[in-house]
Amino acid sequence: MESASIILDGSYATSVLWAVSGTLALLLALFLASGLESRHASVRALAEIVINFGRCVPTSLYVLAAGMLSLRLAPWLDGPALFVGTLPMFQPAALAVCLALAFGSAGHLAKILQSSWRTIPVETRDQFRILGLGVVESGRLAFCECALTALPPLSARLIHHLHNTAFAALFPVVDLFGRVQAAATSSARVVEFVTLGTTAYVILSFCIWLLFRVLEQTFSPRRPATERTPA
Amino acid sequence: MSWPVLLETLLLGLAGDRPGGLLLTVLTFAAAAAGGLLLATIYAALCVASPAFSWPLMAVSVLLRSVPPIMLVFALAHAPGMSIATAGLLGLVLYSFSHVGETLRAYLAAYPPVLSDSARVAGVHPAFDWCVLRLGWCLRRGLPALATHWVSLLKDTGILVVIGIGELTTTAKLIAESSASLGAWITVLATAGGLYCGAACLFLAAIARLQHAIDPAARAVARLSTSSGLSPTSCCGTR
Repeated sequence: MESASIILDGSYATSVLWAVSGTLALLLALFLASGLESRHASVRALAEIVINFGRCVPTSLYVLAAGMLSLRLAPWLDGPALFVGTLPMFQPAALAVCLALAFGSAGHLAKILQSSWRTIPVETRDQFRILGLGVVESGRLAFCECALTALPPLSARLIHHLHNTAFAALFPVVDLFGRVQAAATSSARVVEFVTLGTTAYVILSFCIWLLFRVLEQTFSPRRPATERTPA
Repeated sequence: MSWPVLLETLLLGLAGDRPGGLLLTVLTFAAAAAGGLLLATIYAALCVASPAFSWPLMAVSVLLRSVPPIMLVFALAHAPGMSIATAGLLGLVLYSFSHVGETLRAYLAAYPPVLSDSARVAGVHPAFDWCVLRLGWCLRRGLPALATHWVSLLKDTGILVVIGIGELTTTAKLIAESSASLGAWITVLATAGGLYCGAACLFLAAIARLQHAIDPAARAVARLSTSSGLSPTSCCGTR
């Protein structure tokens, strides 16, 4: 019962950390990917540098740097208590870890988005412009066009991002890995907690995969009815 | 430890235990990436060619992807009859396959029907169609997405530290732990971080050259965007 409570609390905290940092990473990735497609060479070069800087340095180093900086600045920082279970004094550290995780993944996500965007035929892209569609409608159409090639690698990368949230355990920020590590050390039931922790990561990863699989099925272009095999 | 000795150890491994350090990291990475790509190609082709098989195959792939790679390597190292080196390499190959497989599946599924119809009408042999035309298209289109995973894989070879294989992370850890001062400890870890970053940057530069060589549209993008200031969006995609 006690182990179940530890795993559930940790899973909930990890889910929040993943959702917040993953959303930030996706938004930053969209921004960087649009920078890669800019008309200005300097903007493209800047986006490429930021992306490569984000990709080539290990995420753990970003988390360490951001967490240590936030601990120094903690007395001057105040914000909403987003991260359940983390003490109020370490909420800025949790937010800093979140931002570092987002930056560590944004470059990878941006490259996946760029790669997918470039599979859209130039005629289709021209249609978005010629039809005079608004930003929202163009975005929706572009998403549908990119869904087939973008969603599977995005799903795989966001599962990797879920595993990266374990770096939060470097600081007093509540997450699944930290809870499992603490419980295994204090109770000496290492095998039990490692098995439970791994199972929890597998279940969370399956949920992410399932979500993206449903999106892929929903948004992938359908074949015209005439091309389908008759029943 | 003096700088030349530190660099030599981090690049080649500890004396008497070579190859190690960055050299072993790069060798492991290359083997894992190649093995992962081979398995991923078979997986993606099976998923696209036979949708009935795709769900169980995808379930296996997502299960491998769901287990943190460090746990995968650790579990394989404790499998009976498995040597440490085999476990480490197999763990990385499976980890790479689970990510690359999804990317290749996505791009193979998006292969334009008009191209497959043209190949069929032209009487192209199905093996040539799949192995050269479709796979070539996928690799050209998906190269940035694949390369970004390979950058991750290069850094993630560091998980072999849990089973004591002497690649860069393990070597850096061993040297850092034997250092007496905090300053020396930070220097060793920062140098190792810099070597990872440098290796990843070199790899990305090589990928950019490869893309430029194999993708005519990428050459056109570079030419047009430098000569006329056009965005890559406006001159790319007709491949």
